[in-house]
Amino acid sequence: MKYLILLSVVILSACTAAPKVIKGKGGVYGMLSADSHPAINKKMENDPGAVSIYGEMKTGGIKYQADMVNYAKLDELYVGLIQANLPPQQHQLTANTEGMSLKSIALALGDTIQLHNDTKQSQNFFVAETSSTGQKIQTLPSLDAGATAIFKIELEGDLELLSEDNESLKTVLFSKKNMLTKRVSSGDNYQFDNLAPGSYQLIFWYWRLGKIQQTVQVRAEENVRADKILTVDSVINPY
Amino acid sequence: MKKISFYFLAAGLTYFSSLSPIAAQSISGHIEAPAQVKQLVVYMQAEGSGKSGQSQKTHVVSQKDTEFHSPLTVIAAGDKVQWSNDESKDIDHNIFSLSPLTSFDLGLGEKGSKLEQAFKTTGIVNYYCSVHKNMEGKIIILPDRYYQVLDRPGDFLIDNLPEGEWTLNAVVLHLRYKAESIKLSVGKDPIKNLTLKIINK
Repeated sequence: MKYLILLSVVILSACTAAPKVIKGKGGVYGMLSADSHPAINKKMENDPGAVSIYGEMKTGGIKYQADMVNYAKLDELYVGLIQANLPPQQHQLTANTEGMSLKSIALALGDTIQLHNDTKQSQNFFVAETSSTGQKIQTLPSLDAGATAIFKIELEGDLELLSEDNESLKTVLFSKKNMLTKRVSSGDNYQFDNLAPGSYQLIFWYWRLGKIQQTVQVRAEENVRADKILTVDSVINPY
Repeated sequence: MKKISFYFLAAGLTYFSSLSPIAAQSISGHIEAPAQVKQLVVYMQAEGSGKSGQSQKTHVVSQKDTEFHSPLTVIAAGDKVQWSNDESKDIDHNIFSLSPLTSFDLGLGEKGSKLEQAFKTTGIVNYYCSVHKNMEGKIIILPDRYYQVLDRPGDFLIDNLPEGEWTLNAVVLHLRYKAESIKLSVGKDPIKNLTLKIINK
């Protein structure tokens, strides 16, 4: 599986458009993917037959069951670029009877969330720190059924946006000061352009796999390419 | 002769006093909490020294039908958790955690395998199986083994507590709330009718 993704990266390199060069400015672009644990990939490659979930060698690939994570099809991967003096971004979120429209949002401290309550009940939402020692809470005004409101995020770090009244209404948040974010599906391209030359920190994140950070040097009239594959082992042991 | 008898008596008293159990008592009471609060863990923490000399224990979490049984494990600092793959079919699992307390990746656990991890620091660790999307578990690491898990607020009882200075507290799984801890002096008598309040953070 890993080889397939690497091959895809190589093939799609030609198709990955670099940002347009602007005089005196630079850019960062690349592809973000997620992949299964390497031990799973290794087992799949060596699986002799069609008996197990790892599929037939002839056809290749995992026979995904409904309860398995299909990393090639994950659709809430985020790339964040730390950049000073950003205007706040607005993110859209809907709470409905099935749950939240997004499982996760990466955003900047001070960004806003336009939250629509499509459940049939009034909801008392709040944002909470999720670390063991985290005690901070941001209480949001009560949101009537059918109502929409815009909330500014005032906490930083690993957070959750939750309803006090309904446990199934939960979105994982990752908030960081001065972070401009792009949401992509696994294997999609991202780009940040019109950047002043200098050193930038990139953060690649998937809520269940964690984050990897990378520093890039942006030069005038140049685009820096930074591809990343998020896997369990690469996040836990990044070096 | 009198002198010899005295030494025998003194030695005997020393022997029996070393065998006698440490005085232990119970703490009981009620949890007062808002209606939204469900599962919580009431626990006692010794003042000062932290862990009160308990031996290490291994807690087993079974993986069956692509679920963790139980998804909540409560342990004392220094204990181990063992994940046992008890699937009836050839289903592999991977256990990993991104927790800042203890991040780990235990690799692939095939049917029949047992994977272990020790936890030294108190706090909460969320863990996942990277293969199966609904396999999520939580470990609460407490300073001591004096606790009670409650599915919803109600009466609690923690017994066999050694004499000394303790704090009664609770881990509330609903992130909106916390417990208002109570300092207690545990002596020779049981402490009853306590009220532990769960309040907004």
